[in-house]
Amino acid sequence: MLTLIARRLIQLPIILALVFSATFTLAWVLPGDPFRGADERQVDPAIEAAMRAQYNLDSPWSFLRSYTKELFTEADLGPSLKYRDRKVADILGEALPVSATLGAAAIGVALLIGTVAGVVGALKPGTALEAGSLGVALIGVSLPSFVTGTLLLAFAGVLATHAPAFALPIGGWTGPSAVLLPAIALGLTPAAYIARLLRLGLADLMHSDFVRTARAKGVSPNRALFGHALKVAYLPVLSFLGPAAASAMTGSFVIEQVFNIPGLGEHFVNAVLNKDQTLLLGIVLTYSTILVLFNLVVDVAYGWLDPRIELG
Amino acid sequence: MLKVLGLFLLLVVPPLAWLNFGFKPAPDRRPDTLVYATSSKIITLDPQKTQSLNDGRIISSMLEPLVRFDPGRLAADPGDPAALIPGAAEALPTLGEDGRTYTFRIRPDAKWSNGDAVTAHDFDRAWMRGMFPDMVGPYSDKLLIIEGGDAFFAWRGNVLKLLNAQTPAAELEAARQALPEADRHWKPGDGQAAFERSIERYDELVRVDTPDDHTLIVRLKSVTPYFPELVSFVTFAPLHEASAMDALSVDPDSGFVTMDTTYFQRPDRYMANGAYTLDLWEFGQRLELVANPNYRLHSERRNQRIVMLVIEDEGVALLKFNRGEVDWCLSVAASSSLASELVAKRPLEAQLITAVATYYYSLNCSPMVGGRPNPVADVRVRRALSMAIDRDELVRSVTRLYQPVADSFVPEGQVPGYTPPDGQYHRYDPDAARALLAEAGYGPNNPLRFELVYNTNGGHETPAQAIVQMWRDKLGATVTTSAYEWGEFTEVRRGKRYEVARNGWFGDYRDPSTFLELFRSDGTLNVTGYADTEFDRLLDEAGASLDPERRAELYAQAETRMLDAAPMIPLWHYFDLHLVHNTRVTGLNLNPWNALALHEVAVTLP
Repeated sequence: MLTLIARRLIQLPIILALVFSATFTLAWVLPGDPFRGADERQVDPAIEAAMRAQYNLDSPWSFLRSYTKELFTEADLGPSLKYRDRKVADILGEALPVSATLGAAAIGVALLIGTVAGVVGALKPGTALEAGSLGVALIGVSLPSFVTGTLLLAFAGVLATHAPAFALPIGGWTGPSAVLLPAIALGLTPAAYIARLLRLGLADLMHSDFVRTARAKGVSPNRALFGHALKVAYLPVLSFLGPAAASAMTGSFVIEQVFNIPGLGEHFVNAVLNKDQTLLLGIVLTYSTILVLFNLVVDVAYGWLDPRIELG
Repeated sequence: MLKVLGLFLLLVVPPLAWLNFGFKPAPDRRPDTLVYATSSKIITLDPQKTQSLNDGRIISSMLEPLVRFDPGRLAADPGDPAALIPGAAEALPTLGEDGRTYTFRIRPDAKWSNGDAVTAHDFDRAWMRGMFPDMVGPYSDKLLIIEGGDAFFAWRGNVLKLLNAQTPAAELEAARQALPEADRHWKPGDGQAAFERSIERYDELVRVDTPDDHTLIVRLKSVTPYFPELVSFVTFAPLHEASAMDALSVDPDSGFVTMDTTYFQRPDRYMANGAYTLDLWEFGQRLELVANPNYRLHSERRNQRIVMLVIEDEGVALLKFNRGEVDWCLSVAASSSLASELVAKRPLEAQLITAVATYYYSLNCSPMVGGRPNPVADVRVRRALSMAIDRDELVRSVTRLYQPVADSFVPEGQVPGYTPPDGQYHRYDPDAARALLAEAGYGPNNPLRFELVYNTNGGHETPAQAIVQMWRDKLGATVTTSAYEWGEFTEVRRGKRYEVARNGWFGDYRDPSTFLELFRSDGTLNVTGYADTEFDRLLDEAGASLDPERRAELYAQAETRMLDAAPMIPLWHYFDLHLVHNTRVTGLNLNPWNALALHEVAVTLP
């Protein structure tokens, strides 16, 4: 176990270096200009050159030199090139907790809906309940989140007009009540995957030897399911959850846009469109670190749940 | 699984809880507050670095320039010469006999939010920041029209090369040769001393003189009759000298002077001489301004607080507007698919304000494009393309907003004393268009073929397809279209790698030059390859003329020449869409030049 953790932690800087090189190159050749406004205006060439020099953008080498120097000596990700009053670290510091909260809530929603739908589907094959379970999976996989998001937002609008007592905030990130709708919209897709993984897994497992043995020893069907089969059926879900949680917690552009949530996803997309190289590098490095760490947590949890799996 | 979930929650929840899950509770709505929504974030609140109208709304509410526009007068008549009124100055500037020296007298009672007097130095030093190459912003070229500005900019640029250890040897030598003897000794590590010398040098070279604390004399490098109006720009806004100069520091490696950017984020540091001071700025979410009790018109103000919400999604913005959470909403663009329905169903709330802007197509006049002969290089083809477009039909059934159709580049009625010409080749006349095209050698046997490019987003596709169809129906032309994402689009256009390209232009100041300079032969903004020495000469002569009538006449001649050569097809003048709760908000005085005086706006909550 410790070997695994140590090896992954040693891999981390190598992975980050590779990701950094690729992102740096792509960001440099990306079309666009962080200093240009949204309209047709162009900056006077002499002034534009001076502005580029202010941020060491006159050549890739000088940018690389100053960026890595600040990164290693001061652990500073530099100022955003577009939002020049802001440091990248401050933008990440404000946006990451928002996205992480929303992502964690969405994973919670996904587990809840996914488990219920998966278990019901596996236990009651050929009934209306199974059809319902399949329906949830189908909707979750096929309806894009901007459609569910917009529908939920319209629902909030209706609530606010017709049942003000139960009104939910329309967009924004003002408190716990603002989390519910975007978490559902964001959690529905992973919920569908979880339901499908569980349903398939459970359908097999309920006929497997160890469950039959448990049943023969007098264990009730429910106990056999929840005490024995579900534990094993969750293993594939777990390996899905690592990357899914990392991706949900680092922001969803669409959901953040629809619900007006100041998270990381929106900064990510805008950084590309604005060619905001420092912000883009900062986000990609953060995202990669989180992804590697979550996969590590999943691997560790795997060994913990299923001692048959050798770690190291 | 429960164990895993427990572990997950244990790892994730405590740090998030410590950060309060990123929640920023919305304060309760207070009376005496104007709440408005915009679709874009504040980019910077540094007056010398901003280029966005959205930032300008906030900055100009905090920093009062020497002169400003009266929104009420502009709303009544955008071309009213009397709309320019004194701001921090006690009167409009006086003009010296040379025609390019302006003297401003600053109000003796003007105060900063911390009680300090507003002085001429606050302006001088703020403008100085905008002329340092290491601190310039996108609009710094406007500051560099002051005499000596270019010389200082070049001098400091060369000194910076000497201060930077990474400068290549050849460049270093060139920089050294370009500097006066006394300044050739600078070397890496001398940043601080060089900064102090630069301030002296600025005072020697740049003709912004402050004979006393309340007098500011500015000499320009050439005659610029619209300079007093230019001074109303946020680029010319002051900064509280002591605190702003205090926020400057020199980077020991590069010698660059940088301003501590938290200056513009912190209410305790960012001093205001205008109607409001900064109260709270949650990046990308909300910004609040609160009344500045030291503002000279404080007793006349009609609200105490301004709240700006960033709402990018127009659906959310509309819901919040409908619920009354927002009084004034700028998040729904006039190009949005919601616009025409809102205007039709809620005419009192959805207000269309003509912008001083022209939507047009650029025509590439270069003989070759991408190694192939360019058909629109022929002036007859360009005229024919413009004459085949039924603009009335476009604004009626394609954009469905009934924008004013354009037959000139400068919009009519927006610039004092200027009447744009009627472009004779920019009116719908399909027969004449066909005849011109036949003359150029195109017809059923040799159909005209070219490509139209436009940018994605912003609703440009529908008009483009409608125009392509008009060209096909009226001229038999085969037109292909390509859409590019904005960043790439501007590069395609700038590199003249197109035949016909969508374009648009918003005027900055009330002078025809804000439009016509675009088509100067060597202009950085001229993406068409149109080059006419007579046009350039007319611009030069008009620019140097102090006689307003003669000026207007020369600009009209220049515009006529340009329109006749048709490097552009004017289509219509833009609209801006404002949603305003008309029963509660008064005094907004929306106008084409986007001048605002938020302290004059009253909000009555139901």
